[in-house]
Amino acid sequence: MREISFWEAAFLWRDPLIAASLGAVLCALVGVFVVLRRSAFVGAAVGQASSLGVVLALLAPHVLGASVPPLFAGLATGAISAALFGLSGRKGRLGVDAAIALAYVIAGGAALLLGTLLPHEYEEVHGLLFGDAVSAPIEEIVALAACLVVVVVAFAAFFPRIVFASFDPETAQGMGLAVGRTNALLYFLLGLSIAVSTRALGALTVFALTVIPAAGGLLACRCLPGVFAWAIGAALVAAVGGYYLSFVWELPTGATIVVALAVTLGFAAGIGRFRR
Amino acid sequence: MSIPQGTASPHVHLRLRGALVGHRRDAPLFPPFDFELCAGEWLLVAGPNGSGKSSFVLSLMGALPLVGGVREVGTPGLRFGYVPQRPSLDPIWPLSTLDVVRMGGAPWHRPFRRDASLTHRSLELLDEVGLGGLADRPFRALSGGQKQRALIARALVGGAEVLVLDEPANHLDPIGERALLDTLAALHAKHRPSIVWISHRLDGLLHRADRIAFLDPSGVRVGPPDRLRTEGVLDAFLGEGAA
Repeated sequence: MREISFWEAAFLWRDPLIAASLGAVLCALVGVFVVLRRSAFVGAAVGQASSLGVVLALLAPHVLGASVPPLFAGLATGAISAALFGLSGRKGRLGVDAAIALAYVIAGGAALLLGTLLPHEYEEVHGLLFGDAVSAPIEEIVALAACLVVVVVAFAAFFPRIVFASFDPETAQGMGLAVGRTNALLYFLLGLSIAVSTRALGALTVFALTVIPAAGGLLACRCLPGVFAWAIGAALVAAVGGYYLSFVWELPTGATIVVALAVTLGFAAGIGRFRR
Repeated sequence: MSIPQGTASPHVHLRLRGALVGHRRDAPLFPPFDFELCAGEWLLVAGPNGSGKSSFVLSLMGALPLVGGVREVGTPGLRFGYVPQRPSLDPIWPLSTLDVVRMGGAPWHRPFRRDASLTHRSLELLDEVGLGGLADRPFRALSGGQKQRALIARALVGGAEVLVLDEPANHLDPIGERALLDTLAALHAKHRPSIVWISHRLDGLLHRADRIAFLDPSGVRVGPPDRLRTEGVLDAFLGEGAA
């Protein structure tokens, strides 16, 4: 029997590739601030907070007798937890790094524990949290596109404030900028983006997409617009290239995208060394 | 500028009445006090270490709400420029000196609006603080004194009527401190902001100040340097160094 070519199989990969591309751009955009604020593990913590939200939503009919949409609950807990990270840096007595670590272990432990009460829903929980980038229902693509629009509009509106509050919060506060609210907005966008992308691409891939493209941009470029451009370009190239290679070589999609991202990081390091 | 005695009152940017500064109403840093910040004056905020100078100034700026009393703003939309004591600016950020100065417009940035004149004003201010040729240089590559001057330019670029400097000369040698004072004097002459200079020492600064706000746990005492010296308020301080 003749093997079907990549292009002949377009009906198989078109939607997942669109989802992967949207998720890549989304993660790369917010990832620049994740790396610049030295909060790289925010992606992992948001994933755990989302998992707790999904588990709680699935428990709700048994405990409360009312149903809560699990996907919505996962997105909400992910986004809210991320916004709380932003506030914890200013108002709390713990730093952001400690708040992220606490969220990771507490939400992860609680989700695991409560998940034992839902043995029949295990597949549903896993599927909602850690999609594998191989299939992409239309509602996932719509959610990614909507989230991307929200992030781009918010950045267009508040970019100078977000940069000032991230780079020099003490002075920004002194000059009258609402740093707490600006941080909460940024982390809310981070949480939303990471939660939506995790559902479509998987946790490891999203974690890599929030860190590696931005890190490459910082190695290769000398100005902030350049870092954003590199991050978006590298994320797109790795997502599309990784998807293609995983298809033709029959490799796990998420892992192949991560390796492709690592290759772009190598290029960035080479460019950075050359320009030094 | 000196505050004229017996002539028309200068414009008051800000007025505190019965003010209590601190984090708890039952444990204020000073007894209740009244205070006015006048347009164009050079105010030295002095006092021993830990006397609450930064809290006093943050309350003036509105960044630390009073725990008692009233804060009245006499200039609608009053803008503060701020130069922190020890700016913890992460060198990972790929920002040019111009980028950092432009940042000073952010608190008044209107969503989706581009302030076309911001870059022009930033370049002008960089010239005025003596960094005219360094606009494109990475901020992280500047020396400590150059960074300090760039941050002063940033504090003024948004059109601040009040420039607050928190111990700006702490990490400068005497030559650097004199250069900083000269730069500030030139900026003051041109833009006429009120300057609020926080310091835990007075040497080299008394002749620059129009007034001193001297803080210690017994209270906030405000007046021209000569009067506070005559009244002996500064004796303990001046005993530690030359005025």
